[in-house]
Amino acid sequence: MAEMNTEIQLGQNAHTHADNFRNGTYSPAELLNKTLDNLEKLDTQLNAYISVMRSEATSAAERASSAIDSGEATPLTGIPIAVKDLLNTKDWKTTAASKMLSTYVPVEDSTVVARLKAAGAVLVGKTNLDEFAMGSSNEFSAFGPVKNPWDVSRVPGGSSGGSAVTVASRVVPLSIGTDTGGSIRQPAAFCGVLGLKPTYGRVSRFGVVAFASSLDQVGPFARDSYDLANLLQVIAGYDPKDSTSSRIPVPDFSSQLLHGLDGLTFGVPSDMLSSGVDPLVQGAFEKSIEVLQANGAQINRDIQLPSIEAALPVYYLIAPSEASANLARYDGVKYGHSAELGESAEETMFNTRGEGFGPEVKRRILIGTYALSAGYYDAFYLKAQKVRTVIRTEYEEALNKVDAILTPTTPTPAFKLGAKLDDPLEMYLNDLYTLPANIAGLPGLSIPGGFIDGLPVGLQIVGRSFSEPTLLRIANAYQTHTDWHNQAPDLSSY
Amino acid sequence: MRMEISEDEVLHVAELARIKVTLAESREIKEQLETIFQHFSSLQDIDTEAVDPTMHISGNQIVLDHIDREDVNQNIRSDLIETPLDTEQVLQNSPRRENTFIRTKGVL
Repeated sequence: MAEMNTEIQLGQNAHTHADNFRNGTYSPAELLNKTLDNLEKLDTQLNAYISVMRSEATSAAERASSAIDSGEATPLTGIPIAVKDLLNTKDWKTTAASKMLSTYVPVEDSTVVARLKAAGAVLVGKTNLDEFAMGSSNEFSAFGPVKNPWDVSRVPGGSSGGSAVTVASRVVPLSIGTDTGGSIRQPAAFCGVLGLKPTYGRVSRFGVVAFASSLDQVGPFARDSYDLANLLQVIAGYDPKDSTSSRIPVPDFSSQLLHGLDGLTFGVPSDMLSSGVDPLVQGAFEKSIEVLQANGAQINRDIQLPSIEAALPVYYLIAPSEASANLARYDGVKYGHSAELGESAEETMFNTRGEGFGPEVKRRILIGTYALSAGYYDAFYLKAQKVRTVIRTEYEEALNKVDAILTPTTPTPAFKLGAKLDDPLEMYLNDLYTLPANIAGLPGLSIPGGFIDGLPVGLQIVGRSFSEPTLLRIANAYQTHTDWHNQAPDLSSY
Repeated sequence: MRMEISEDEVLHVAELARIKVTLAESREIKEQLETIFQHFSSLQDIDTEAVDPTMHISGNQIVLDHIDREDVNQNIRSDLIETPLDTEQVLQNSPRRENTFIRTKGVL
């Protein structure tokens, strides 16, 4: 048995581990042990995890072995996976990276976690994030910032920073994040992995700590399109516990992976790329387009998205408004942090929320409360909801002409820790390319699209509603002709 | 146009949001809100005279053109009796309790 262990390579993708389990090369428990050792060694530097589920994972790995032995394995059986600490895990602390929920223990699993467990996946831990998923750098966590494995002086992106980092650093092949304005795609781009925000309604949000309910969506991280398809297959689908989840049948996501690019037309919106993008990012993006073109895709540079610049104000009015309502529930009475009892119930509530929420969460609640308050509702909130319709319609019209819209995922590669911490607007501008997919409810996928001075950049593909099979097909074709996704950060010094 | 938000307005909004903010915090927030809302005022340039607001995103999606809108909106689960959480589970996260009650200061 001893020499079998040496064959375990943590950098392998989930489908390779699954093959090795089936062939008896190594067992889920052996893979898990190596995974946990590596996780704990790297996490002293990267801080990708808020909690590690050592004993639960060990039991899950044993159950996975039995399932494999009895021929009942799914593609995820025995595969180590990490989940953003925004998704409820039964009897296991779920903090949302906030002091407000630092001791909260859910009594039920979120639907996504329940589906992962049912599929035999091995949950190894809960990943770090920006508090309540509000942030683009993972610096707003009550548990400290996450570091980018390509350069630990840089941010990993956010809010699902820990989930992106743990896949990029080859600790686990798969993870789960959430995306309200780019929180899966932006960290995927900054860390050099794949990250998908599914169509609104494709994946249940039941048991996910709510941020902005008309924008939030749960999605997968992986290092190749096969793994991404297999993970999406498990988490997608209607859930009676989430009335916004869709009854549209779930397709076989891996069925079109090998269909290639022939017959597909991609739009490149010149409006969107006219300003603010780093010329080196632009250059990497044009090279990616050449790859797609050389392999059969048609490119249409005439699609119009004239109102795209409004995406930023629309998003940063709607999301904080919804957040201010969603976060009203944290009153220090039923669960969560509670301040010392004051003179009155109201005083206790003011103190609880003053102490329990961090600076960015307070800022967003105040932005939302202001935008919804008497006298400003029409000028800001209602106006934003109308412009949301305008943006949606422009995307709808563009996607009638092309199969998908391509842009860089972010205007720049990962920035330095602290660089944008004191300038909220500058931080928000980083989300310019990712926000519209949430505003329009569309699926968006970021795939590794090159490197600039040793830092990864992402290629973003936004498609029609429920066109995830097409997005995965494009990713697969691109990855067949590029090697970006196979490049790993050098972590040998940790 | 310079967007101006007074410190009193910041304190009023914090009051509405039930968040205690210090004077130093309110000064910083005032400046940040001014910058942010100044930027947001560019929305007024977009003509929305004949546009309906998007009040929810489900059912508005492009692919749904061929699907009966009624089907989409009737996404309501069946009204079935299920096993509820037991009292101990419901109360296990409450910061202050006495027996099967949650303790607070008087609210009336």
